[in-house]
Amino acid sequence: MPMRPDERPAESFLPLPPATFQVLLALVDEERHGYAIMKEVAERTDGAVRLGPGTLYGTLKRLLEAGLVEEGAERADPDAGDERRRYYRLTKLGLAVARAEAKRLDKLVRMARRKKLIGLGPA
Amino acid sequence: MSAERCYRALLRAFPPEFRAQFEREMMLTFRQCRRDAAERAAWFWVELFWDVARSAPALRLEAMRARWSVDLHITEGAMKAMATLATLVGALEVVNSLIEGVAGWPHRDAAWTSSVVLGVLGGVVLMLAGIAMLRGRAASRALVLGATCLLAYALIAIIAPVMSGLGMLLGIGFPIVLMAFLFWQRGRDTRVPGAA
Repeated sequence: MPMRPDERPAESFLPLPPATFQVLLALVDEERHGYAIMKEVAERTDGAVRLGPGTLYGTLKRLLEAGLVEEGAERADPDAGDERRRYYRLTKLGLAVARAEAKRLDKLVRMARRKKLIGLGPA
Repeated sequence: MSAERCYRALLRAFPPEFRAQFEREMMLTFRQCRRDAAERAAWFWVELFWDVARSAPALRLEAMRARWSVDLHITEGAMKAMATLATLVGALEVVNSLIEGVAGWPHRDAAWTSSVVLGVLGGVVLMLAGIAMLRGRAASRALVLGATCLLAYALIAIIAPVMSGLGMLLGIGFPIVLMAFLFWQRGRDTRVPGAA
C-alpha cells in the first residue's frame, strides 16, 4: 500500500529541485500568493532565479500533491488591486523538508570549505 | 489578438486538469508580470514562451502517467478476473472429462481413452495457465499453456468427440478468448502488475 505523503520522512524528498526549494523558502516567513512568491524569489536572488508562471504553478501543483504546501484562504492582495488571490502556506511536513534540504546544502558547503574550494567567509 | 488572449492560447499547452486548477491564478500573475515588464516587452514574451515550452511538456507527461496508472489498475483487475476464470474453466473441464470417462466406461476403446486423457490434460493445462497468471508469471507462459489446451481439445474433436457440446465449446472457445486477451495485454504489460 502506498505511503501517505505526510507519513514520509522529510529526508525521502531530498534532494529538492532548485525551483522547489526556492518556493518553499519563499513560504517560510508567511503565506503568499503566486505572484508574491515570484517576486520574493527574484528579489532574494537578485534576479538570478526568475520563475515563470508555468514553472511556479507546476511546482505548486507538485508541492500541493506531496502535502508540503496547502492552500490558505482566498483574499484580495491590498498591494495588487481588488482581485481575490489564492494564498499558499507551508505545512509542517513542508517546513521539515525545507529544513532538511537547507541542512543538506549546508553540509555540502562546509565540505567545500574544508577542501578550500571556497573561502571561510560567505562565498 | 490582445496580449491576454495570446497568453490564454499559450496556456492550452498545459493539461486540462492543470488549467482548471490554475488558469485563473496564472492569468492574474501574467497581468502583474506584464505590468512589471512594460519596458522590456520583447524579452518578457521570450521568457514567457520559454517558460511554457519548459514546463508544459513535463506537466503533460505527468498527467499522462497519472491516467496510465489508472488504466493499469483496470488492466490488473481484468487480468486477475481472466486468470480466475481460466482456473475455474480448467477445473470444470477436468471434472467434465472424468464424468464423461466414467459414463462411457463400458464402451471404451483406444481413441475414446485418448480423448478422455486429453480432456483431463487440457483442463489441467488451462488451470496451470490461470495459476501462472495469478502468480504473476510472464504472460507468454500462460499463452503457451492456453495454446496447449486448445490443441488438446482440437485433438479430442478429431479423435473421438466424447465430451458434451458445452464441454467442447468451452475447451476450444475459452483458450481462444484467453489467448486473444493475453495477446492484447502484451502491448501493455507482459506481467500481472504488482507481482514480483
